[in-house]
Amino acid sequence: MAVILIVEDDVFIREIAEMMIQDWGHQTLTASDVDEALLLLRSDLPIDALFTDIYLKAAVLGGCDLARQALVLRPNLRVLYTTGNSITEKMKALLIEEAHFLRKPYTQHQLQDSVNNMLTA
Amino acid sequence: MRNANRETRVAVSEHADNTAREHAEEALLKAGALQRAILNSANFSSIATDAKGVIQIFNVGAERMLGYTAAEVMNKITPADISDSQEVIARAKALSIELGTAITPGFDALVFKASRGIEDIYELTYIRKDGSRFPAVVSVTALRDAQDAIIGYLLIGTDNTARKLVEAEQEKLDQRLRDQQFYTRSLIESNIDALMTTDPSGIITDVNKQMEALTGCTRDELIGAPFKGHFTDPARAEAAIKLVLGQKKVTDYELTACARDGKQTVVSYNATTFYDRGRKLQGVFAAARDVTERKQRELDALSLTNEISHRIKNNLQVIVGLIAYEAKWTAAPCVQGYKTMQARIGAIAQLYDLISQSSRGRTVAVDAYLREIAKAMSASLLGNMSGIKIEVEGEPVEIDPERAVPFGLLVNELTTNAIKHAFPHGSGNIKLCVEKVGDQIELVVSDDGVGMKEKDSVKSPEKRGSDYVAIFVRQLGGTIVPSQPQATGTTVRIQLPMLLVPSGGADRAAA
Repeated sequence: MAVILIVEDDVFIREIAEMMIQDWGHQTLTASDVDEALLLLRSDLPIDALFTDIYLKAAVLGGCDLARQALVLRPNLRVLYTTGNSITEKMKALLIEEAHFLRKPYTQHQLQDSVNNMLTA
Repeated sequence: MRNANRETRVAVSEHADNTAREHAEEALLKAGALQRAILNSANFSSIATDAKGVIQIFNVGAERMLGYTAAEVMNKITPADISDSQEVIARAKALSIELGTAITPGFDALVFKASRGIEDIYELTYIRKDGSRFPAVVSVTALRDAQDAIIGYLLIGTDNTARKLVEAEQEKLDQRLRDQQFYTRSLIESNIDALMTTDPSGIITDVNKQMEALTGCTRDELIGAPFKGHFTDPARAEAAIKLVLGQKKVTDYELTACARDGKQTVVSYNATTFYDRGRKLQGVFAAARDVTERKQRELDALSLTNEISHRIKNNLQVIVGLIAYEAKWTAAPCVQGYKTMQARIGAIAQLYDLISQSSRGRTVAVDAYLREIAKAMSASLLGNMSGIKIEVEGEPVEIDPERAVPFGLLVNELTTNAIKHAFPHGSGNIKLCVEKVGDQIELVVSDDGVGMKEKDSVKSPEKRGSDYVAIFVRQLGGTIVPSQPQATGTTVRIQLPMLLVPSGGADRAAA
């Protein structure tokens, strides 16, 4: 089982995702923006994977920036992005190579598949 | 003997004298013939005067040009009397200044230089007997006696009318050319676009004021400089020139101009090749329009679209989350219903994705839309390990976004129905197909499963699905084609009115 950091600015979506992921036996940490997430990533807490929304409050591509900084802090971190927006070429250029991607709205099964794929890749 | 010799010398001397005289007479005859020929020429006016300017000779050429007979002018008037008086006055004034001595307006002005031994040819307007005027070129020579004293003047004139006409015509043509060049330049300069020409190697050969403003460089600095050197991406600018040379024109080619002070301006280039009269390539003519405002509007629109899309998807995610939460506490037999509901929401979300992918959002490409729906349903309802495969076969037809919602939900219902009931053993194929049939389009959802009879035994859950299908078909103005008995599988055909957008008249939402 893994420790997954969920970064999502919408409280309801974040808590439902947290509940689903915990149901599958994983531990979760949560943050609502980039700064909160970086505080956790800079801590000594064990974190195996990052599940982040790309569009975070005022930061249009906040999730992309976060993932890049997160990998500097924790090079072995797995990354799963999510967004409801279309993936633009600009966005693609900012995505981490080998990262996984899940489109909103996602069902519990789609999330489970994506999390499993991310952790076993 | 001595006498004989003397006679011989005398004879020789007389012979020599006779020969010299003959030569002299012959020379005089020749000179006379030449003078007569000149004096009798009808193409030159030859007017000879005495030292005071009174006309003594007035040849046939002069008679012809001026309309006077010789008798009417000889010993009566001077050439100044048949010349434009204002020109004579002006000539006197000019010569007075030039030679530093006062020259009287009159005949003196016409012969003053010749009287000083200076070669003199000038233009003069002669006045005919009938008062009409004509331009003449006059050559003046002083006539001198054996002691070199002036005994008169010879004025040889040619009618300059034809040459003057040619010159006037040439001047008109030159003026017309200057007017044309001014007009063309005015058009170039008054254009709101930055215009320039380059040679085939991309060296600037001409620019207008707007181009100077765009680059912050003067015309002299720009001409002779490489085109690519004034853009943030020189390689892309150079590629533009190559593209024009290859395709003869490019339209709406975006570049970012970089001015000397660092100011950047996004411009859209339209460019064509241009040629000389012999169709030889001269270079590239390019017009750059400042599209900064347009780009900003596009960015604002994109930003707004992203914001709206983000909110819609988050709201749909909340609904899907609510359903997931409900499903968590629901008895297993009912979970499938919740999953179906999530798939329906997913279909609507996919539609939003497809529309937002369109640059202008006017139409949705049905074939691409079907593939997206199939992909989403495979992921949500089937998973990676499923033995059920969904195949899509679609002609490139397009529908407007308003109709795409019920169309997508219709496909979703039919496909969900096949997934749920056609394959009790968990494997098989579903095919989604859209094609043009006459003036309609036909949506076909088929499977190679167990067929309708076995499915019919299942009751209530799919009743709702069938109701939805009927509602969506009615909403689209279509009809369900009665199904034909088939050995295996099920085929549902739905004919819909032409939802197509005229070819080439729209941008596809999902290309």
